[in-house]
Amino acid sequence: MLKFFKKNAEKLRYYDTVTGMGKILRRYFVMNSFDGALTIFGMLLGSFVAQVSDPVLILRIGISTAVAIGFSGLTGALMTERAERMNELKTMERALHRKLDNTDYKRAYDFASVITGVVDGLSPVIAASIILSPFVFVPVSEAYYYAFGLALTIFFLLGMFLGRISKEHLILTGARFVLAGLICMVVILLLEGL
Amino acid sequence: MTVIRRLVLDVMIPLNVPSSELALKLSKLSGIDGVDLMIVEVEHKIEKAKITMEGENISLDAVKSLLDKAGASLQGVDRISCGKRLVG
Repeated sequence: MLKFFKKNAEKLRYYDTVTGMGKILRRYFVMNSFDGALTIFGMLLGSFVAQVSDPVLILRIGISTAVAIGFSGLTGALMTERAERMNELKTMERALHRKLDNTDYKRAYDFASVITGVVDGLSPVIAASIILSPFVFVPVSEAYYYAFGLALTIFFLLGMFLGRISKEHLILTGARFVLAGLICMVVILLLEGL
Repeated sequence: MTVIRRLVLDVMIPLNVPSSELALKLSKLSGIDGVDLMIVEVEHKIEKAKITMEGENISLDAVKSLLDKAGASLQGVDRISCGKRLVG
């Protein structure tokens, strides 16, 4: 994969200039990683309160959930991005008075749609897999705490990543994401207590 | 042998395609010694450019193909100079 990016660096840079996909990818990556992480975080909180102690069950439900979020991201982003890009392309074709089939310009747009779908699909799966990983390696009683810790760390890192983009205070933006996770936790625990 | 030594083209370029990159790519074509790309008009989605190329043996087909691949639209050939030496 890295080899592919190195080999095609110039082409990718051109595609990014034409389509502006870099910014979109960044946005989708954070949005969907957070989506995946928070969903699994919520699922684990529910399991924790319900005292589910079977790691295989947790992993099965967690992985299915992660795959579903990933698939939803992949198809959703692929279709919406494609529709938007097609619209842009047709507008450009009208402005240029020509068809853009078989051009690098069109290839850039096609690539942007596909890679957006891939990032949108993979990012929640990766985030969810990291959070679920303790259930593979440590006993359930400890795994819950490790998983919650990992989830909060992912929230924090995603926040920091956004902070780097917006050139804000990294700790502050990271803390904001953690706060969002904690609010979600309180809501879930309140609901579970009802 | 008759060769094209100067070519002036009227081209429409999508605004999101950097014209500098297009000019650089044209300058790398064999037979072209220099390229001058001048934006003459900027519209909502496109910019209109006058591209002047000089060289020992410019291939009109290669230039057309490059512009086509880049998504530019060739509107017309404004000037073409051929022969053993440049006139004017």
